[in-house]
Amino acid sequence: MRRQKLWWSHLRIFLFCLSLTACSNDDPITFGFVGGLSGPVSDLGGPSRNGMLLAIEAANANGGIDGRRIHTIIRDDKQDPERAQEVVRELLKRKVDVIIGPMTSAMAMAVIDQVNAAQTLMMGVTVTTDQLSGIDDYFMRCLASTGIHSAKVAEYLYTQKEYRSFSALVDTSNASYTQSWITNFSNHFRSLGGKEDQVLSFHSGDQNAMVEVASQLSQSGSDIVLLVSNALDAAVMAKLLRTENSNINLAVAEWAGTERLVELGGRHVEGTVVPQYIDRESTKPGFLEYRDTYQARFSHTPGFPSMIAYDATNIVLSALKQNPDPSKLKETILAIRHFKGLSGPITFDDYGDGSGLTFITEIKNGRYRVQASQ
Amino acid sequence: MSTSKRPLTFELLKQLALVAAIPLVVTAAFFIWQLYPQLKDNVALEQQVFADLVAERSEEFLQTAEEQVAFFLPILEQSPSDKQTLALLDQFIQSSRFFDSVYLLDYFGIVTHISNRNSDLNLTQELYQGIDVSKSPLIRSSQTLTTASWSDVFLSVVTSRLSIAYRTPFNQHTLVGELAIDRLPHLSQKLSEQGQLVMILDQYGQLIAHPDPELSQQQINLSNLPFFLNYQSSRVKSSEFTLGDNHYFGSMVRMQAPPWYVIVAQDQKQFTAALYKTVNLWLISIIVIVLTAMVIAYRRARQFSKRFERLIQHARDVAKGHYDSESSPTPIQEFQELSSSLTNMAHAIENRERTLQTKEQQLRNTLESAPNVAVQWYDDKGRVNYWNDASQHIFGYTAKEAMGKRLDKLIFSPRPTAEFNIHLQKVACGEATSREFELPFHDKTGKEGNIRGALFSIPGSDDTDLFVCMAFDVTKQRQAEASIRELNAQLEERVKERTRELSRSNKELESALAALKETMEQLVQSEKLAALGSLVAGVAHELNTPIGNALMAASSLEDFTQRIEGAFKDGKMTRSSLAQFLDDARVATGISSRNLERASELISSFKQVAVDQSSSQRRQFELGELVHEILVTLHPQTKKRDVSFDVDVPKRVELDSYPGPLGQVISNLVMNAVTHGYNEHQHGKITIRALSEDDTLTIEVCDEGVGIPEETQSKIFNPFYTTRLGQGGSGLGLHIVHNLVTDLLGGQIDVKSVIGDGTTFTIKIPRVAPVQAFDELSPQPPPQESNEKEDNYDHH
Repeated sequence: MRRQKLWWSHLRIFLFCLSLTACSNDDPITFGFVGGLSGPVSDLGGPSRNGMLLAIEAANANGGIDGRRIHTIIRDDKQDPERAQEVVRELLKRKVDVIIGPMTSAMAMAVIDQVNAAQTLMMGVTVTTDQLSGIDDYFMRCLASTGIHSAKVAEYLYTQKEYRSFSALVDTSNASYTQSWITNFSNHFRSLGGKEDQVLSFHSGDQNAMVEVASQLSQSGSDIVLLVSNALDAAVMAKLLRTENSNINLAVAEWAGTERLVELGGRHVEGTVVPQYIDRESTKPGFLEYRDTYQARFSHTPGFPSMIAYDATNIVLSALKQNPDPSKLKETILAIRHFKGLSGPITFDDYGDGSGLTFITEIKNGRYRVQASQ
Repeated sequence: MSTSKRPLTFELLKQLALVAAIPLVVTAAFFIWQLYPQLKDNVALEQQVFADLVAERSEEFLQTAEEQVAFFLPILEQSPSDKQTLALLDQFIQSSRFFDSVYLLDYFGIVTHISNRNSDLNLTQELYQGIDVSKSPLIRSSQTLTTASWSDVFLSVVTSRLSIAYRTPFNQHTLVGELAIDRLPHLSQKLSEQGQLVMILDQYGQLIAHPDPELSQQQINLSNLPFFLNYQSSRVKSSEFTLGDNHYFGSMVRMQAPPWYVIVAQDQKQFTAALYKTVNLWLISIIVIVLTAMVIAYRRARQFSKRFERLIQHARDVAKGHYDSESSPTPIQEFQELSSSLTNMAHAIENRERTLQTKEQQLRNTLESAPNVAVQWYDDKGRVNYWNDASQHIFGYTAKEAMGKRLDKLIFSPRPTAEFNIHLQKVACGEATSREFELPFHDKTGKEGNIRGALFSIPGSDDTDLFVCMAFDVTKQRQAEASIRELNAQLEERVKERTRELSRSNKELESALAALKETMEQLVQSEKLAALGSLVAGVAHELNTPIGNALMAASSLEDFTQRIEGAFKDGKMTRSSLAQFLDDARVATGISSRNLERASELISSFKQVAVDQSSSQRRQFELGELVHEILVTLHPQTKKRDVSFDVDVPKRVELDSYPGPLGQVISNLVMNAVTHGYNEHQHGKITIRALSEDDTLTIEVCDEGVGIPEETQSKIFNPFYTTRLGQGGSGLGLHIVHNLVTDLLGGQIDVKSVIGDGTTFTIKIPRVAPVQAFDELSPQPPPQESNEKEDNYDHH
């Protein structure tokens, strides 16, 4: 009898342990990441992924969210809309709790319907297209939309630099962003009294087109030439333009404001006006600490994409800490609304678009120097 | 204590299966414990060899590329023109298996010539000639570069692919060959096909080659991988690690140039697959062996089981009382022995049963014939089950009448019944093994009495217990006890009466004692007065001689004066007669003045002693003076005895105390020594010594006389203790001394004496006497006379 009882109690303990593992609260939280990790836009994707990892590794080192570890699934969209849709489908199928990314507006536009259908929050990193502004959807971002930034650039060029006419080169491979950017810029610049000379376009990778438009632009005679493209293309274009006409004034969009522009542009990008989402010369302790930690972990200096991704990830993490239910993530973020970012406070509007300053810099001696912050 | 019943077959099966399985399980465990680590080491070693190979291959790959550049440089040096240079570069890139792009940088880091593998030469030139890479830390120009070297991994502006560059300084220029590292993944992929995952990390831990080329392009940094950190810090070459969702076991080696890391890893699942395979084999063999063992065991167990069944049948027969049944013979020795043992047991049981019957009869007879012990058995409801002859004798009921009835129907009234039932229940529920009781009863005729007995349980024939009651008739004892109690009561009354009488006489005694104390105090008082009287008499006697002498001298002088006067009147005074008169007058006045001085001295001593002793006044005084005065005042009483005094009192010993009582103490002790220490005509010496130490003063009065017997020493301070009872000694002298020393003077007194050697009284008193509650005691008589010496006092 006693032996039978012993067997029973053993069995019961075993079943109890099984049930514990089955309904354990230790299921990890899963962060999906989508972004251009290879190719010409990898200077956005790689650092963004690193920024996200830094935030998550720190959170995990502190015990995760209420003891739940944070797990990541990282996917490369190769700056290809179809590929982006494919990887987002995979992430949603694997029931990620939130997606950090993508990097570019073109990719965001490609996948927005998928995340809305799945009601999974997508926290964009460097996506600023106006096409996603003012919509109550499952896409959020901690940056202000493109229009706000390009308007500030227009104002700076018109009032501070006293340029009165502009020409522009626009990369159509990320049209959601570039078109928004240039349209807003143009509208604002013209509303101030400026003149649009010509807006040319090319598709990133089409080297012939680049040479062609470069010679056209160098002849435009405009006060300022805007390069709305990625950093690599901007560097090459700057070289082409300055070789033709060394006095030409250049400005780029925020997209190109990475380390790459300086490293590859060299003397040809000196004096270029570069708007930035962040203050690279900040001396805030949080910023400096982040810079050192990043340097130690990844052996290179952090660029702006990594900082934005870091802020974006931390915003999601702090919302999850307040309410661990991922399906309420959007509501939680909007309820908290005000967050602390590396470059300053971040406030979300009702549609999940962030706000932030635009730091207008000029390249001097190979360094970005802040001229104005608006 | 298990009550679960399993058939023998099952039990044997289980045991045999266990016997078969345990060694197998133990061996399997040993295998896992011992061989698993070895297996792991083997894998690690294999991986390291493989990783070395990959590193070697990679290095070779890069070295070949370097060699190509080395061959190319002399050709390039001889190029006569820019155009030629460009053509050479293009030729180089088209023929190279390695490089994707090659360009020349001038001293300032500006691209001067460039050729790209898959692009039009002119277009490339147009796009990239003039590009300034001086700000790039990776593609350094000859400004800072001194020897040929490989760069870190970077994103090529020319190819938009992750690349490394081989940089060679050359004529103030730098030749840069870019090599897209996505070739390495191909290598890695190829190698990984052999079941191992091959990865290459750059010096910062960034993944640059992985079988999945996509991952290679993502610039994933693995520098936080514990495996990588451990290798960096302590050169742990092999370890388990997690990458993405997969767990690996891998080994790492470091390449020489460039300083990259090669990791060869195996999926944990694959790694453990071999182990699982072996373990599975073990498991299968365990199952097979156990099953085989069970089949064999089952057949054997059935045979055993049948034999046991036969034996069981035999045992059942014996149990039913068929002691003569026999079991069938069997070839197995133990079974045969068991069977014959059963038969023997049956005979033994038969014999024992017979013996038991005899013993039971004997016991029953004993119970029946015990004349005074009533023995009954009851069932758990208290009904009589057995009733012996003595019970019948005591209670009057026959066994037949009592059988099956409860005691309340027989001998007990309700209260004893209830008590008896309580005892019965306590024994029944095991709370007590036996209960003793004493209860009143009435026998069949109604005569009342008491029984005293014990109740305990014995096992009954079935599961229920029987309760045995053994009882005596104690009626007569109780009657005797009752009469004793009555006697006791009378005795107590008598004791109380006596006590009353005793307390009455006690009170009478107390009042007598009080009267006695009063008498004693009066006696002490009169003793002191008597002493004072003696003193007065002594002093008067002492004064008698000097005053008589003075008187005589004065009258003689008067006589001489009258005579010379007469001679003068008669004119017969001669010169010689006048000279005679003057001589006589000088002698007479000398005599009288000496004697009067002596008298004066006596009086003043007496006065001081009398004042001191008649009033116990506290004052400051000097001990030496006191002793001197005392000896002077004692002189009348001691002069007739041949006693000498030796006084050893230091000078200037000041006391703040009661000189009268202290004087009385000393004089009493001195007189005690004079009187009792020496016989009347014996020469004696009395020593008075004083020693002052700090605040304490020690005074010793010693004689060298007869001594005090030891048995008497403890009594001498008691009142009325005297050796001269009826000879004038009152027995109060030393008692007074003791009281004065211990009470008023605040000290203590001690006596030491050896028969024939003398006696020493030692007094220790404080130099400053304790403060008394009163200012002055009642006047005390002068202490001159000690109690025991009135008989010696010389009355004049």
